[in-house]
Amino acid sequence: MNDKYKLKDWQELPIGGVVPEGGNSADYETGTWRTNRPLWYEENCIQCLTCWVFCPEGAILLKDGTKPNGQPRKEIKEINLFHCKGCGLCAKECPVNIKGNKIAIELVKEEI
Amino acid sequence: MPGLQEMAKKEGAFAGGHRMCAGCPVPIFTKMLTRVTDKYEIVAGNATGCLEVASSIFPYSAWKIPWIHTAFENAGASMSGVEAMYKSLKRQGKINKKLKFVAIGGDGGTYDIGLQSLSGAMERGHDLVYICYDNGAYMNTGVQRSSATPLGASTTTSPKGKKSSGRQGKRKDLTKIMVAHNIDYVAQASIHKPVDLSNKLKKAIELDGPAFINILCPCILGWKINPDMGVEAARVGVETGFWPLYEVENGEYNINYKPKYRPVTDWIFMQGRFRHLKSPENQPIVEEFQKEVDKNWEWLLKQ
Repeated sequence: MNDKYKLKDWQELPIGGVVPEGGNSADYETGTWRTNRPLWYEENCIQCLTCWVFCPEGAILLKDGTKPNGQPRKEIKEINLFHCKGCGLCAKECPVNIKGNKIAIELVKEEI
Repeated sequence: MPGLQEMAKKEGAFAGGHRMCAGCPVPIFTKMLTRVTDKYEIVAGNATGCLEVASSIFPYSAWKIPWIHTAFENAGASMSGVEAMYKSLKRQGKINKKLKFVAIGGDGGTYDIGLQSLSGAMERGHDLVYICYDNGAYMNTGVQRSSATPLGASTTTSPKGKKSSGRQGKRKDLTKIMVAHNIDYVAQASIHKPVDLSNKLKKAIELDGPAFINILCPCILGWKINPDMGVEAARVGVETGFWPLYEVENGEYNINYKPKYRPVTDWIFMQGRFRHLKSPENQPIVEEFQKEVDKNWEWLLKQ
């Protein structure tokens, strides 16, 4: 746990127990839940963003890129393993995987 | 019509690091809330349920938008109060943000406990979108039967066994109840069609007046499926016709997607909660389930 949010003594808690800021759950590591690690192969990826829209953790990070014809678009940058719980939705729904010739995301057992 | 690229340009409403189960598809639509519209800012209220508990464990919050936790029964009432306050402040010139209000509840908090406050909020005509994510039981407290639980499903309060074969009786059709409120927009969506879902959210949010969306959200724990099957279970649920995708605008029905009418057994036998229906003495329940689905579609196609 991040020191910033370590539970304090009752005198030091914010009045009313308010949460200090919105969206701060991003500081909490849920990657430790994972038993399967997703591996993303950029060369096989068609950048359809299906995994991005379905990822419940928001663990698929995007970057600015360009289409082959030069138009701007969002592309997948990497998988955020700090948040990824290893559910496998991305690999299950990936249209490249469903087509079956290539694999764009696969899950491998996490090694301890 | 926001496509995926369009949505990717905006920031989502929901941060990672929340404590929903691995593979739970509910955050798919909560992430979307701010991405579907660029005209308004969103304020959300959340009835007690999985989403509320897992997204706001002290001292963390997964919400990047203003968000209120209310009790099980009053998500509709709280958000209509907030909306009325906003209208008043706007009239007094104390606020000039353009806000839209969203209330979110699970099927327990919407079909059962929150029904009267939802009904009141819709009837009073608040500028409010109520989103129900229907996973078919009280999953947060450990899978108790709700009035959205389908026929024959085994839950902890309607367990399968020698004397019982799961939930008895028919499930409530809340979407039709909301259509009967004569509100401007009622829709049924599914988590496996993100573009269809985002269109419906956009329509509902940008509309001036009450709107209701019912979303099929499979539950990993309660449906007894693998963590990667959340979206697939919703897809098969729609393909079998169990969950029709339609919207009702000003009383006019519009079916968004005609399924392939796969046999309903495809859907129920992919889930562990219906496993006991495979035994021969439970065949009448499967037949009744299929008959109910067929009847619903027959009715829907006539509209």
